[in-house]
Amino acid sequence: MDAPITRTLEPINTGTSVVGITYKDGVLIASDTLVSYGSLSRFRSIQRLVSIGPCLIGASGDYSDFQHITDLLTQKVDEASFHQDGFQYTAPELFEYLCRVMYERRSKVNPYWNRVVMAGSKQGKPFLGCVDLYGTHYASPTVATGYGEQLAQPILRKEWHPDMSLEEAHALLEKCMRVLLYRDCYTINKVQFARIGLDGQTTIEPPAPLTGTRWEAPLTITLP
Amino acid sequence: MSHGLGSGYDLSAGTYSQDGRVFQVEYAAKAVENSGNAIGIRGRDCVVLGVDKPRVSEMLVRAAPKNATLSQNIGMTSAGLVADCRTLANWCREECRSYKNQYHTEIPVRVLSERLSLEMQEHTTTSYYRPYGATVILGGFDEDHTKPQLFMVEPSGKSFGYRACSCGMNQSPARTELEKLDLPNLGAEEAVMTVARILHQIHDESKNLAFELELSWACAATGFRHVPVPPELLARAEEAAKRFLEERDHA
Repeated sequence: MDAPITRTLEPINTGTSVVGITYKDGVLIASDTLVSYGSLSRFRSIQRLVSIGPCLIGASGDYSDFQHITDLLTQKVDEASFHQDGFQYTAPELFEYLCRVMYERRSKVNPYWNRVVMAGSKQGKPFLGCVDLYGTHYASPTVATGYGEQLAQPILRKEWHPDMSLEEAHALLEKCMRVLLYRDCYTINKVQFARIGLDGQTTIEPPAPLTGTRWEAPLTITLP
Repeated sequence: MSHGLGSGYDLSAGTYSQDGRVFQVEYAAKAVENSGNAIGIRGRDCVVLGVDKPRVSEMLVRAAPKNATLSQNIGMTSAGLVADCRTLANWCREECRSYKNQYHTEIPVRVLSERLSLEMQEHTTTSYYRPYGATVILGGFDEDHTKPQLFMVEPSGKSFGYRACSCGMNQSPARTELEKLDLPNLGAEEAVMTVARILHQIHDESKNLAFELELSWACAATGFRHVPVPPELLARAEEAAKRFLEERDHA
């Protein structure tokens, strides 16, 4: 009998929130290092932030789809470099390509089950964009995916300002990751930061646990 | 056969001549012998590819690149019909890409040369295709970066690994020069100098058109990637080559 065509109806191995902000000299993004299998914290030490040519990407959602997207973009960047004509994609251009790919897949009713954050720069200005599994996309100085969209985005919008230093940006994202650690069921206390400067220089920091978390019973905490 | 004995056997690659040759393949080899020269050498931890591009017009500002990067660590240079060379470069790029898609590792140079030789050989077997009029030199590193690799594939589909190889109009004088080299001990920069020198030398002997030199390499200094030789080094190599020729002429 002819079986009906089926698609991915739900993601299997998933990553949770990615948060990102622009700062004075570039873009900083952060995520945990967990890839969950349903509600099971299965792979606890996976780097979910990846540097590709002129940009840095991270994603929540299906991890295998994210790996595939990483391959697609790497290929695109490599092929451009083979022609030796000095042309290189910039982050906004690659982002536009990624958005088309995401929209194409949603139009085939077979989306890449992700929300992808892309960071980079163009013409001396930081670039930070976000695209979801429907191909809906926007660029913004503050971006958060997954549960972070609900919990981190309000904090980011309130506290972000354009001439933040790296230290300030770092502290702000740490604060968001701490809130997410408290409230998100599918995260662990192992967080990774990555940044890309206006010169395209990428730095991926080694993963580390968040500091300054408090686990006393609420009644005993005296709030400042 | 109204044109006399032996004629009419060269019209397609699908026909043998009476003494068992496929003339079309030999014509393809001729096309390579009528073109500029390409050289590849495998030194100590490096591969250098060089090609001379005849200056076809006085009004030409700069000749288009002829050495091609196929994957991160593999490059090619070629001699023969330029359009065929480009087609083959694109064919190789596609092969590298699909190999990486399937196996998630870079294609080994040996595998690429085998596949390329199959493709070129296939074009010598039917009347539907003509053979490629190009000889391709593949050079680079495998993903483990341990050993430089160099292969040459000819229009017939013949493909061998080499320490150094040459093709084009002056392939024999070039080979004579290559045979004099101490290849296993040749460093990357020295290899660049040598390729530039030999290309100038063999060109000088035939005293024809002006030409432009193009060199590319893969070595530790380039992170084992195949890239064009930096302009500064290229200029230095050309200068040294010209000085060598002058000194030789004075002596």
